[in-house]
This record gives sequence, structure tokens and C-alpha cells, in this order.
Amino acid sequence: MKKKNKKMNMKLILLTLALFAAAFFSYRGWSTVRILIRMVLESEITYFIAWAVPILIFLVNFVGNKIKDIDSEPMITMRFGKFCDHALGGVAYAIVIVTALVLLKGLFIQTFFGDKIFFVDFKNIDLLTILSIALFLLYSAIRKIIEIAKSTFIIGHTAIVLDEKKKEVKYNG
Amino acid sequence: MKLFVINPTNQKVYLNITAPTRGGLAALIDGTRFYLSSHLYNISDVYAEREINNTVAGLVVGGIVGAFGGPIGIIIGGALGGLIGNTSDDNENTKVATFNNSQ
Repeated sequence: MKKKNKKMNMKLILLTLALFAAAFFSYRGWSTVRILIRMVLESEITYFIAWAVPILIFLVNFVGNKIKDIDSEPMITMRFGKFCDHALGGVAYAIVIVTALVLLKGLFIQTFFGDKIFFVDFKNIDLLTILSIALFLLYSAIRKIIEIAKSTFIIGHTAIVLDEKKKEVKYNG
Repeated sequence: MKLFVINPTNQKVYLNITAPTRGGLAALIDGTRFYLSSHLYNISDVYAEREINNTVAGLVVGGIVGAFGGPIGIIIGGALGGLIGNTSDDNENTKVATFNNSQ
């Protein structure tokens, strides 16, 4: 157990160092970095990935595993059934990510380039509000996708529990 | 939190059900023994583990998302993400310890 903690801390230290390195590189070469970020935000591939990855992860989770339930709460809390929860879950996360990216693209270009004005008649406080909600949505949606992807992988080694009479144990989550 | 057993070929097999303690698990399966992939196990063979390292995930995702705000954004985003993830990990660790220490 101690060995695992040490390994985990090493991972955290390395990641923190990588984060500082990224921040330092971004600080030193901000003019290049902001162009790269703009390219990513304006690229069609980004939006294709943002649509395809969540939908695929949810569908793979459904098709590839015998156990169809999603442990994690779906974004649309209403349950429509196992297939719809997966299909709609993927679409809902894709929409959230794409919306957040589109809002961030507008804010980023307007703030750091100024060659296009996306939000006319918006005050700084309005822009800050949009930025906060877009960052929050993007953060939580990506985290959720990682969680579902990880559970998709784990469910691959999950088996159904049977009692001593070999009857499936009923479980309501 | 995920519950698992080690099968005869030394591989982890996760249970499709979960409970806060071994007693809770026994109540759920209505006994102390159960079948998993045609092998018979006792509830004392079951252990719990954390599902995801939220601190690491939070740090990475927070850092990437924060990049939209420039160098300061990367640091603030990463720190905030790591902090949120760490709090979540603490809760999960408590649940895992409660299960693993239960009879």
C-alpha cells in the first residue's frame, strides 16, 4: 500500500512539474501559444472529436459490455431506458463540450486578438460570467467522459454476482 | 468505489454490485458466499478500491481548460482541478477504508 502511495505521489509531482513547464512555456511564448490555441479552437477536427468521442464512449460502453447500467449519473438525470441513457448521454456530453468550446472560441478571439467581435454590447462582467460557465461545463464534461471511459474499461472485467442458488443478485444501484 | 475479488488465475474481477460494508454485501446477496464467473467466493474475499484518481484527472483537465486564460490560467486551472479532485478522493478513500476494514 505504501509503495502505491509513493508511486501516486511521484505521478502527482511529475504532473505538477509538467503543469509549471506548460505555464512557463506559455508565458515565454504567449504569442505563439495563443495562435496555436486559436488554431485548435477554429479547427473542424476539434469539433469532430468533441462530437465523436463522447458518443462513441457511451455506445462502446453499451455494446461491448453485458452489464448495461451506467454507475455514474448521466447529465440528463431522467432515465429513458438503458439504450437511450447511453445514446442520449453521449449526445448530451458532446453538446455540452461543443457549446463550451464555441463560447470559449468567441471569448478567446475577442479578448486576445480583437480582429473579430463575437459578443457585441456585452460588458466585462457578462463576458466573465460566460467564461466561468464555459470553463466549468468543459471541465465537468471532460471529467465525466474520462470517468465513463474508465468505467467502460473496468466493466470489461466485471462479472454478475450470483447467490448460492445461482440466482442473479438484484441490485438497484 | 468498486468491489473486486482475485480469481484463481490471479486477476481482478469486479462485482456488478456495491455495498458500504461486507455486512451490507452479505445482506444484499442473502448469505456469505456467492458465485462470480462460475467460481464460489466468500464475502471475506471481497475488497474495495477507488474507481478513479480524481486528483490527477482534475489537475490535468484543469490545466488544459485553464490554458484558455494564458499561463496564469494553466496554474490556476490545474490547482483548482487538483483541489476539487483531491477532496473527492478523500471521500472515496474513506469509503474504501470503511469497506476493507469491515467484517
